[in-house]
Amino acid sequence: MPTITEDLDLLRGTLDLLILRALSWGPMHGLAVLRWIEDVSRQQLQIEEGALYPALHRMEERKWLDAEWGYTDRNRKAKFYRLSPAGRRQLTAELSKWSRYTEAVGYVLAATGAR
Amino acid sequence: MRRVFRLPFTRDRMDDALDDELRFHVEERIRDFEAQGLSRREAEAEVGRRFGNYEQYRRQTRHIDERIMRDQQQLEIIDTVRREARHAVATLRRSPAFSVIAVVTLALGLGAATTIFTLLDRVVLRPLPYANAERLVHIGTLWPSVRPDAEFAISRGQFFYFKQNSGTLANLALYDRDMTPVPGDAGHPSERVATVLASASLFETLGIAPSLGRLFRADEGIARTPTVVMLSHGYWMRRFGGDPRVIGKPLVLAKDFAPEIIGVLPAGASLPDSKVDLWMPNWLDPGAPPQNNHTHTAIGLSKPGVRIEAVDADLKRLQARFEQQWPNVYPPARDGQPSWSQRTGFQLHVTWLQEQLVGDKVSRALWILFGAVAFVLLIAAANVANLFLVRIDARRREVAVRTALGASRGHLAAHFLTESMLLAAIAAVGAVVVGYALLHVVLVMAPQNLPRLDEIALDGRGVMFCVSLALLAGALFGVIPLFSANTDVALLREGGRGLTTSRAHNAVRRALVVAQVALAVVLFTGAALMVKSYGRLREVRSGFDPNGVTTMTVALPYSSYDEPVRITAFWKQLTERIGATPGVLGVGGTESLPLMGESGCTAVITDYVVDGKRTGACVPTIPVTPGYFETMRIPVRGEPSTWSNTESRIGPVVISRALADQLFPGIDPVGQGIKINSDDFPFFRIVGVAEDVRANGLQKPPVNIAYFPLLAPAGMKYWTAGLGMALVIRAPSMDAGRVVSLVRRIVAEIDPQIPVDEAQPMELVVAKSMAQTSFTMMLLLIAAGIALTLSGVGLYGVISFIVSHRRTEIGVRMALGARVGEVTRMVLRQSLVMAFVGVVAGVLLALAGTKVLRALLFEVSPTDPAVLVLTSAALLLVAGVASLGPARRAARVDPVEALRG
Repeated sequence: MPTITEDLDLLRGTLDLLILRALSWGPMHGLAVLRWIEDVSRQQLQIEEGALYPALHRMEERKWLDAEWGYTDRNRKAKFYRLSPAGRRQLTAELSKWSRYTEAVGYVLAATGAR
Repeated sequence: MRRVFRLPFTRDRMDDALDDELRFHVEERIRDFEAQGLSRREAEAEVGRRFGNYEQYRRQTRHIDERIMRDQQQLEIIDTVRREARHAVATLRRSPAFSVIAVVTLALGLGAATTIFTLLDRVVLRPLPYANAERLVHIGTLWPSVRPDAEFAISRGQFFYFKQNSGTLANLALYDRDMTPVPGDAGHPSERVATVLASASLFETLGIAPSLGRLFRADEGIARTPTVVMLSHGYWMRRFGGDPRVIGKPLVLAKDFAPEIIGVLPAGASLPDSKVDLWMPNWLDPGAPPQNNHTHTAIGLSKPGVRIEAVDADLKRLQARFEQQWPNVYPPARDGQPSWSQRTGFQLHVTWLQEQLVGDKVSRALWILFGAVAFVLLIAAANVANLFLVRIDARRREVAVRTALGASRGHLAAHFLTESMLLAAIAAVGAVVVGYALLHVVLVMAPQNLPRLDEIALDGRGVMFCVSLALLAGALFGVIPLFSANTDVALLREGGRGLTTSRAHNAVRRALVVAQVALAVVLFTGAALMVKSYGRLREVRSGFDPNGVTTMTVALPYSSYDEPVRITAFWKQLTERIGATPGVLGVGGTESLPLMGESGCTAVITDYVVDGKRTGACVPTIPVTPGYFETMRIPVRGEPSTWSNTESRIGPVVISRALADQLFPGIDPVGQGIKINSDDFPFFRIVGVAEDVRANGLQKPPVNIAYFPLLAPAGMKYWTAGLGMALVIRAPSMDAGRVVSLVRRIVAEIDPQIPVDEAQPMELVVAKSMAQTSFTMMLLLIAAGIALTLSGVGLYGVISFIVSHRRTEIGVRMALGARVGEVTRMVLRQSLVMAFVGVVAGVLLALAGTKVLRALLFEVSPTDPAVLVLTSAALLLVAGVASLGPARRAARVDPVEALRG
């Protein structure tokens, strides 16, 4: 089971992408983002949970995310993040970069022997 | 999602928020695992494992938060300023009368202050434009027993001795100023050019390097006639079109006088007290024995860190040794006779050059003017402060509402500060414009002999001064409301009529007006004293009649006029031909025109013996042509010099009346002999006694003068008088321009090489000699005028305000039977009482303060009672006029309407 932990730059970029993607579904607090990633990856992708917060705040600083305090369904105070227009543009850019990257890696892995 | 109301960012709130967020995560996560069936402890352990290093992540996040907070705060400040500024603009536009009056008043006050600050800064405060300006020392000599009111310079012998032996001077320079006639050539008329004959050390002392060529060397001063010359940048451009090939070429000044041009000085390089175009070596032969000839200007460069007292002591010690070494120049005490220096009171006078140059009187006058505009500014500020007070009262409801809605004192401060700062900023821009314009007016009026006149210009320092004052004023006005914002919430309960002004405000308002009036009294007194001085000065009998007289200088080149007979022939021909022109009533010439600066003194003795000794004096010996006294309408008893008695070689001399009384007590001087105190000189014959002339200035006593002829008695070889003369021509029907062109034409017909310059009406010479008094007077008058107007406006404003706020009371009084006259009188009385208190305070201030004016006054006491009475009356009159309008308004109050509210 892969974990996204210590700072591999590649993986931090990946974490940002995952967060952006999670938030593209609507405003969430940090824990909700984490739960969403765990759920949709069928528990396959496990993040060191503390790493989520520097990432969220950094993205807030970059104005990709707007933050706002609100109440959860169970009436607990939590900090909610939502994608800003800049964040949405960032998500689009990251997604296409990611797909180009995986595509390229795919070609490499699918290659058959040296020409 | 329901939102939470968040307060603005602070560091504590930021920390709390972060902890809340992380704690929420951890606690919710533990619940998740408990829900999956783990025990509390197991759940905590699992969360701890999954979360990673809590403290480290918290620190990382906090770091980011801090950056966010800083950005946020900056944004908020900018945002607040922008919002408040927009709000302030809107508020100010809603009350244009207030805004315009406040801005104009402030701009006037600040502008005037900026102008005089620039004057003061450029003339008095700023160092001279030299590399080591603060180390430059002036060295002169005082001869109190010979001329108590004048300062003389030093001798060449002293120069060499001081330069060599001084322990406190790093360098010493000597120079003489002169005018050199330069012959004309194609495209350039002949002219007289300002020249300095300087020691080579002058350049090192002042820190001047050539922009082209080289400087002259000390050994080039040994030749009697200069062999080299340097050009000023201006003259090089004017005469040679900035051609660098002039270096090495001769500058032909006369047949046998053509020094080589060796260098050009940079633009702006000049002597401390004047502009100079030709720089030549002074005759300075270290081998020549010292002479008693103390006429050479000296500037020393003190060693770094040396105090002026030390230089003074050092040079005085050297002077004592110098006198011992040269008993033939400075005769010591002998046979009971006092020594030469005891008889003359001879003493060195050592000061910083800048102090010497600017002079006590000028710096005092400028400081006084600066004080005057400071008063004007204070009066203007008081007016604006009053306006702000009125406005605060009018806006108390707004403030109350804001306070009630939770605006803190800080918010209110930001609100009012933005408004007053905005106002001050606009006023500052206006003030710079006003200051710039005013400075030009002032420069037009400024006396031509104001030191450093050409250095005066509005610059960064002036603008900085203006802007900082404006900001200070803005800040002060901005905090005024804060002192009255405390109790304001209560106002909201008072209902619609809650506009009673606070007692404290009214007291402040009255105090401001009283202060204004007091300051205006002081200014007005000062101005009135100057006006009276100026009037007295104009009444002074100068001893000559300048009306209708035009003057100009005519200089003969020495090379072609080396014989007294030739010189005399030229002047005779010139004056006769000018005199023959229709419209010319008289013509004459003098080597030294009255009121054109001090002339030195030469020792003269007579053939009249009192107590076994010939009488003598040290007086200006001024060569004049026949016709001079008649043209100037200076009465002469006896016979003035004429062409015939001049040419008969008796040496006709005219002496002034006071000199006659001094030299010939009890006898008629006509027919007596007088001569320069030197063995080479024969006796000249006194032919007449002229009335005294105030030649050194109208405010100074008349000067004793001996007027000498162009020709000496026969047998006298070395008498060259009349090479440079000031012509005086009485032609009341012609303006100065026509007189000059007439003279130019006639001179050119006689000798085209001779330049005619510096033409001006004699009345202008007189006016210029009074320029410093009239200048100070004009500026003080302007300041006093502004002060008076502003005080009147201030009084009017406050009285109007008080009347409008006492409408109800006045209505009650009228309803109870008060007459219109009583109401009017009540208002007038209120105004006059304030003005009276102000006047009393002002007179006391003036009595204490006008002493500083004493040095500038002429035959007027600083506590002149007439002036004080006049001033007080004027201020009370202004107070009366200012309250007429409000009084009439008060009288027109309709009791019914006023009581209804």
